[in-house]
Amino acid sequence: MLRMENVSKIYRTELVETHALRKVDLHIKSGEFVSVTGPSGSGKTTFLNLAGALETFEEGDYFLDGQNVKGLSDDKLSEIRNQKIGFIFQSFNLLPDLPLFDNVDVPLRYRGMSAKERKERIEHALETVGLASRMQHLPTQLSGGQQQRVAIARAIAGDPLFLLADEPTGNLDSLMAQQVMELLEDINSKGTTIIMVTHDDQLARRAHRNIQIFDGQVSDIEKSVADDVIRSA
Amino acid sequence: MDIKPIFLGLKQNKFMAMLMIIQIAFTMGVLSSSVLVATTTLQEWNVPSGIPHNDIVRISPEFFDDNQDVGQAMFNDLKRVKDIPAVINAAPSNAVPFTAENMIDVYLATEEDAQGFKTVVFESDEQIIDVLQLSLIDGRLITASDVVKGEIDSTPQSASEVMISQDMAKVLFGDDSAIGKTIWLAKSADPVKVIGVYSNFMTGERLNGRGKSYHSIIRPQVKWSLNQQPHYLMRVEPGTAVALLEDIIDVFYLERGRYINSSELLKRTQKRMYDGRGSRALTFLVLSLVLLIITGLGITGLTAFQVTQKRKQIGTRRALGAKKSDIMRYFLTENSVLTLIGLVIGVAVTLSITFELSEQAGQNFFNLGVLLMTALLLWVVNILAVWFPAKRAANIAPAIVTRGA
Repeated sequence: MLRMENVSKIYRTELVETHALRKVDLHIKSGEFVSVTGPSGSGKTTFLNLAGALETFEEGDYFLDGQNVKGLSDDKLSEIRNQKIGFIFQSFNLLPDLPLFDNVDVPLRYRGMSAKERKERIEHALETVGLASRMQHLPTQLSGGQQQRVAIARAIAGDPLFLLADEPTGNLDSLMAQQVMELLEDINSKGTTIIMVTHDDQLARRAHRNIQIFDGQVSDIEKSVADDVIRSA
Repeated sequence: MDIKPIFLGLKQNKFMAMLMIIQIAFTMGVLSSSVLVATTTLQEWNVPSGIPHNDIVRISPEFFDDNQDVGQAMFNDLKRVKDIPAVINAAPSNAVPFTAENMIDVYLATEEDAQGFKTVVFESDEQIIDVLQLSLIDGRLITASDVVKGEIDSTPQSASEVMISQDMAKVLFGDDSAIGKTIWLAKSADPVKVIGVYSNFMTGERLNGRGKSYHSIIRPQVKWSLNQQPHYLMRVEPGTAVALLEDIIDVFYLERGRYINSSELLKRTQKRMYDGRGSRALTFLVLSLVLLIITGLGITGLTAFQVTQKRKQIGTRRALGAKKSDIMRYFLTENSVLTLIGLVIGVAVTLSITFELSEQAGQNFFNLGVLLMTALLLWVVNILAVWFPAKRAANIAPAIVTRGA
């Protein structure tokens, strides 16, 4: 479903070249729940940006659902983000001016769906995250955990190829973090692939598989091994 | 791009939206009113003068010596200028075409609520009709015996008969003949009788500005004092006016104790009038342009401020699948919604301003075409004003969403 082959990302300034990711080879299968961990500055965010088609890269190939993302136009990348990826951000990134219903509606509108289909999907997504009764509320009227659930609803409403979660519980207290994690696990159990970037070892351990990034290099560890590695870290 | 999210966004940013709407409405109101007034002013640019202004010279002498006899000097002046071979005719007058500003109200009755009709009265002798080459439309011309002459203090009586212009007659009496009708040159004044109607000629800007360029009355009387000395209008052989002007001035300097305050061809007087009009229209248009630029910059500033404030939101939209064109469209549509509301209010303001101006000036300034063109211009300026900050917004990288908390 997601395959990276020799992907490198280099940030260049006039004076310095920074190798943010070095020759990443990675294959994530449909239905997996993958955690991505690594210390600050290791390249997690760069990995997230490339996996989410938020940034372009110069070396290697990145296949999403069989399609090579490399070299695609900005518009095409927008389409891929819109149709194949569901984003969940650490700071939720809800649009403060729009009620929940319309927040969830944002990516669906860009997809050009009919109003009827959008409405059905939005209602279903908000039901899934337990916020159907608060559709007309503004994000500021919700707690952090609720806001993140809206962001999850927004991510799953479009029925994407995978969810890309960037520290989804980073801004939440432990109880809310627990609820959000359970929600993600529930969504994953119904077949949705999830890639979760986190620095929280406990959360990472709940994934099927852990990918560690150190100094721009990826080590891909199956869950059985991952637990040991994380425990000993 | 559906309109609903834009309205929802505006609902949450009422202050900003109101600010833009007010700015657009104000600009539309002032801009279109100015353009309407300027257009109307310029439209009347080439109204015929009704007189051979290329061949008429005006001289306005003024005594500084209090011991001089103005009446005798006038008699001498007229005799001397008429002796110049190329001068065909001359007449004294209290007013000069193109500069006649002593506007009054003329009445058909003296009741308190009687309606006044704006006009200018030319006090002159029987030669004025020939000097200005006016044609008789109805009734009879004034004759030498109709003319009341004398020093103001010693001549209490005034001419009781007048001639009026064709347009004046139409306004006062419609299709009826004006001849024999009575009018009042002031509510408290004695009535005067209309004895003749002459062809139209242009009076001055105060009446031009009211769309009443040709409303005038000729009263056969020449009254003078040291404080109220007549102007002289002289018609000369066609094409000789420029060459003759110095000779004519010399003649007027033969009289002692005075100087020539003004001496020119009426062609020049007319040009001055048009220059003034052009300056007025230009002032309106320049002010409008400045206002337009200020509004454009204001909109650019407000939009740029919004873009800066909403960087993360714009990045989020891009991450969620918005193309650059979607972001551009969002800002342009949002601006168009505000512009439309502002324009509707602005048109209402314009209508009330032009209605008030038209009422005051007695002239219709409204012009739907000009109003629509102004609205279109303002729309285009706003689109341009938003274009650049919107372009900047569209270039915000979607990866901004993963930077910082």
